[in-house]
Amino acid sequence: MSWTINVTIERHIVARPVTTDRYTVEIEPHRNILDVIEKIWAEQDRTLTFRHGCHHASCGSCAIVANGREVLPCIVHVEDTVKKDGGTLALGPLRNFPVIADLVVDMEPLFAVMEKAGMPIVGPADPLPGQPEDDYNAFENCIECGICMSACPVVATDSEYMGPAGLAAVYQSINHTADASERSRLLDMVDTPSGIWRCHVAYECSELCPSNVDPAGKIMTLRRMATFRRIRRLLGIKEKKEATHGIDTTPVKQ
Amino acid sequence: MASTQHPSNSSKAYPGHVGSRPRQQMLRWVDPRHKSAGYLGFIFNRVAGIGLVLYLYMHLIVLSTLTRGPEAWDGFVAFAKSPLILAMDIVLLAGLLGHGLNGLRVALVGSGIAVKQQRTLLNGVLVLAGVLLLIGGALILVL
Amino acid sequence: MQQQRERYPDDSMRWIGQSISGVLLIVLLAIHMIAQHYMVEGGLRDYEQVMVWLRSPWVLAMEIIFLGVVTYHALLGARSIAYDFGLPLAVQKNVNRILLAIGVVTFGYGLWLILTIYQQALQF
Ligand code: SF4
Repeated sequence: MSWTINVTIERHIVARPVTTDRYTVEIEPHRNILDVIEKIWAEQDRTLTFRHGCHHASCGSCAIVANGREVLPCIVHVEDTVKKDGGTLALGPLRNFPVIADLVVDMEPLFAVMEKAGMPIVGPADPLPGQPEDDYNAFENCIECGICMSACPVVATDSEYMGPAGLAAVYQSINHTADASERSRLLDMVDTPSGIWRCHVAYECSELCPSNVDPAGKIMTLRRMATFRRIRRLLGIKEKKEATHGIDTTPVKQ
Repeated sequence: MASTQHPSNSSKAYPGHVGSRPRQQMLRWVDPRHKSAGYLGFIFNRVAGIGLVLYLYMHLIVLSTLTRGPEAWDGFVAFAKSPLILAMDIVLLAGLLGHGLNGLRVALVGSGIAVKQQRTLLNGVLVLAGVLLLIGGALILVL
Repeated sequence: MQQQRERYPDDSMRWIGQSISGVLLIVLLAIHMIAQHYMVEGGLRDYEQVMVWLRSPWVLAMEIIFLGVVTYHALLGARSIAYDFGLPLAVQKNVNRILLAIGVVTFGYGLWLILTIYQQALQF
């Protein structure tokens, strides 16, 4: 049984004012939002620009805002977002990024921070929630989709803020090196007003991250490390050569 | 397909710029639509915080009537017992309780002490603030 | 990215300060609310009751601490909001100076107020 839904899409086209285009789409409610977009592109409007890759939440390239919330349209069902036959689906590009065209944004602000963090993209990841450590050891969880940056209230007003994904990446880098000076350098990089201290603990990033990275949790852990370091310095306690900040630093088997 | 021009955005098209972010919107943080509990808590804490700072200064100014002797102060006390002021006192109490308890949660989570428990803490804050507000509010009305 | 901005190695201290002052405020405010509003009939002390209450040096000390902590907490919060707007370096410095000045004036005025009332209470 198909639903008929009303889709609105923000159109960003170079040198033209931003408009909202309306489409009526017939689609089964269990299909994904990306299917809706592709259907519009295939049947109604070949000028629609959007980005996608893997169709299964691995590449992170399709992230958009659907009905006010950041999602990966490739894994979110129409029925979960639109709720009823005849309902509305409002689509727009991610927030807090420069828009290139329609639903496509420039990811530069995210990648710039990732690069500073040493690009821990393919490092070993945290175990999946609820799974014992050795059972599943996925590759790096973060898929660089930018959802957290788009959802963050601080990124929205302060473009200097490193953002959830970048800070989580620094955390990963710190966590995966046992070299004390490198850890200290990385911690210095985020122990700044534009780093971990800019966060206001709204937790929207962790709420919306499609890949269980829990960036907010990582930021809070970085803060604990920075705070403890600060207190140690205050008390004149020398840094241990291999300061672990209470974190397991055993290098992960490759 | 139908098309409408954005009333708000119509004049500033994005010229396909690369490497720079769109102009930041200063009041974006205050928009509560489609947000989850933690975010709403953040908005609440900030709005309440701003309100409490304003109240602090009002309070300091009002207290100066104490220096002008008994008549001035007792006149103010009588004024403060009007229903409107009492209602505002309840709003103030809600702001204090919410900001204080949620702030406690943010302090615990934000220092990395109770990172894993942030959800539980949020629920706890809601319940505790609600109960205390009921008791405190009732007392304001009864006393 | 952050090189262009003023670097505050002490931001962790600010966070600790804000947390500790917040916790202190909860305690002080609870005492303040109960003593000033919930212990007296009518919810507000009349002039005589205020004077009797304020005569104690303990209360005096508590009020001064309260004043200091609340000013610190409030202005640090205001600073945090201001910084969220991605201000340029020069403006950030000015924000710090202005808030510091406001803090000093607030504390000075509050202290004057408390001490004046305390003196009145002693003579009462
Ligand atoms: S942390 Fe999560 S939301 Fe942010 S970019 Fe990585 S996968 Fe996306």
